[in-house]
Amino acid sequence: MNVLEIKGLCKHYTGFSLDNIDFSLPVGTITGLVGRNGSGKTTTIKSVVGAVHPDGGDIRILGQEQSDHIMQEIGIVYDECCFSDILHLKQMNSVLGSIYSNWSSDLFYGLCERYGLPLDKKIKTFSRGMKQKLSIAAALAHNPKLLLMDEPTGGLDPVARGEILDDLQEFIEDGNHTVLLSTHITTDLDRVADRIIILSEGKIRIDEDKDILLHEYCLLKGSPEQLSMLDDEDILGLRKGTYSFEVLCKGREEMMKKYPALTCDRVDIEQILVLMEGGVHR
Amino acid sequence: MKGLIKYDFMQLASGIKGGFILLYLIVMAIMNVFSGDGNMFSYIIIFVGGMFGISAFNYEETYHWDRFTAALPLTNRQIVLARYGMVGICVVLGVAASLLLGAISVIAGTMEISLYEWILSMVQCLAIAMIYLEIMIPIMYRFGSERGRVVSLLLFLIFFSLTCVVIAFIDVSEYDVTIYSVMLALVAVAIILLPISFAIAARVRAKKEF
Repeated sequence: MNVLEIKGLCKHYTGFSLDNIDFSLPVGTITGLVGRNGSGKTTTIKSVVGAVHPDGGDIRILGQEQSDHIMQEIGIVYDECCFSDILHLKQMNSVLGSIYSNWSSDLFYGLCERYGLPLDKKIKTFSRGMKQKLSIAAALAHNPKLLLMDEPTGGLDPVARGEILDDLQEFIEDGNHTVLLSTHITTDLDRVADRIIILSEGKIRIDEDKDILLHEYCLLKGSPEQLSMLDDEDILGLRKGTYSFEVLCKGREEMMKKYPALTCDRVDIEQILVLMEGGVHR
Repeated sequence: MKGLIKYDFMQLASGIKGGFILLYLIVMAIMNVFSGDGNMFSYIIIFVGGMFGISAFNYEETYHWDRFTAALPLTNRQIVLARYGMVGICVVLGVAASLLLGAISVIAGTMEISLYEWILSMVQCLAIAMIYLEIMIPIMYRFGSERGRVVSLLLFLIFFSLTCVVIAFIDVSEYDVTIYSVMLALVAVAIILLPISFAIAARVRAKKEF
């Protein structure tokens, strides 16, 4: 079953358009949403929760149209904490407990304790990382079926990031919860994501299972003179240096047979993104 | 909805505590009571209550709480109703403080007008405060807290300028206008304007993007 289905999502701004975004999130998975700044990641996430009004398309959550009731099943973490700095955690627990019918104070306080968040101090005394952890604790504490995260680990130290990624994996372990994680930190996705969606200029360039993506895509390397050997249609992204080039291709086995003279390496998500977005045509 | 009202109130309480505003108001109230201006200050307190309620828009924008509320399991109408509820409660608290101040003035013997006149003036002030807030809330939703204040200043400037122009050309004494009839008119406008204000505010917020 798909927890989230987006079909033909469009949103137009001056100078940018989200153009026919189609994707689905299967239950029990972590999907990484990757792309350059301004590629449409945040707009996509905001469209799901109704913070932005799409110009077209259909969004279904747990098979239902967007409504206030279905928001009970969604947790959201933005790139910055949205809670008042002058309140403390007990007050936030009281507020959110009055709003969400599934709110669990025990779970909230348990997560706050795990993240080392003091209950009686005002949120303004928290560091950026602590505020992000608070946002995550608040998003998890009402046991949502779908967790939307927009750059949740930005500003966190590696240890804190690791803790949160472990929590995400634990969150989906039972097979009933799903995560959409928008991030620039592709190493996080290497670690936890099941699927990867790459957005570029408002369009989906890649929507693939992570393991298949990392297996299928490859990096061909060679000297500049060897570049002319490659067919244009095989080049998805190119980076040229003075003494070498790197080309992103699809179909590793096929490329190895077709270009035996070139070195064929595995890629990671960051390399795919950098070469697809930042690479140049020969 | 209760949660949103709680949130706004907690912020307000925290802000008031930290800023010594309450202490200032109490000192001013005492000074005005014993200088014979207790009734005047009692009218001001009603407006102060309402303005405290409006300050929720400031907090909301500062902390991006409005973006978070878009993802809450609440309808747009509930979110807007919570804001009206909160502002309404602040006005009621302002009225309660005002009544207390009036009572103290009467006991202290420093009330310079009759009790009847004071109550009539209070009701007028309450009606005016309500009308002001009913205009302000949709403006705040539409323009945000900073620009909203500028827009409301301009609107009231225009309104009062037009009023002055009209009064300059019309001899008001020809009309049988009593303080009682003015009060009734203001109360009627405040009551009629409330659902209109709410409908506009809900519509404006529904179109907003965060």
